[in-house]
Amino acid sequence: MGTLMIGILTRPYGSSNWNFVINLAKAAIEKGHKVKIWCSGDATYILKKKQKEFARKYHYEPKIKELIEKGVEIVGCESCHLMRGISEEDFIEGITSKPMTWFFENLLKADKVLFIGEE
Amino acid sequence: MAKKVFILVKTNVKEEVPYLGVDHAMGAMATLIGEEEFEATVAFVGSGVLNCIKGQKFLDIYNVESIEDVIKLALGSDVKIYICKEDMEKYKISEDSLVDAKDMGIEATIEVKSWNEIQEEMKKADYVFFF
Repeated sequence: MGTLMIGILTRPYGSSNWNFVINLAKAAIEKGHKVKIWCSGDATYILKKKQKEFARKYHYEPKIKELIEKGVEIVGCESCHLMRGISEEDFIEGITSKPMTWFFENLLKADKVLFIGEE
Repeated sequence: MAKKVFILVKTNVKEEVPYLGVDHAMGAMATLIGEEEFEATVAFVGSGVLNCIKGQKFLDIYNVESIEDVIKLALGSDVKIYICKEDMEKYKISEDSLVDAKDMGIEATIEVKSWNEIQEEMKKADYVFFF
């Protein structure tokens, strides 16, 4: 079994990229792989708890919680989330904050890397 | 042997994303695990070439650092910076209008590369990221 590292920049609401990332991460971890997700830029908005659900709209918080429960490691870029006024107290439980070097340190340990940049 | 990280920036100067691209390159250069290290290259293509024009006034007008400031830091951190020749021509950008860091005593400059040369460099990289 391997380790999949996913980096993502895009905002959670207004883009379907996160839907793809969540589905991919879930599929990989259910097959027994390790999965790590690095959130940078506007992607850090997904780290926030108390996201409100609206009918027939994307709603990510329960899916993020499910990934964490399954063992996916989700990490926010420290400067990116702090810049947006999102503190670690605002995070969904289980998410951590790290500097950018965490991403590159874990890149070296990963078997596969997928980076989703700007659309 | 260092792992090669290649970052392609196609978003233009008004966005946060080019800053993140250059920041990730500097993050790579700052990462060292045992004997493992990275070499980072950033290539500006498409409207991303607009990031490389010197004389940006972000600090004067908005009181924030410009991508010019960040590119200078990257040049001083041994990040290789490329700009796409064809896109420079499209946007009528001359070589003497490109950001440099001579005022910081840094000799490294932005290198003008054809799109074919940039693609060849991408092929040699261990990791390619699109910003």
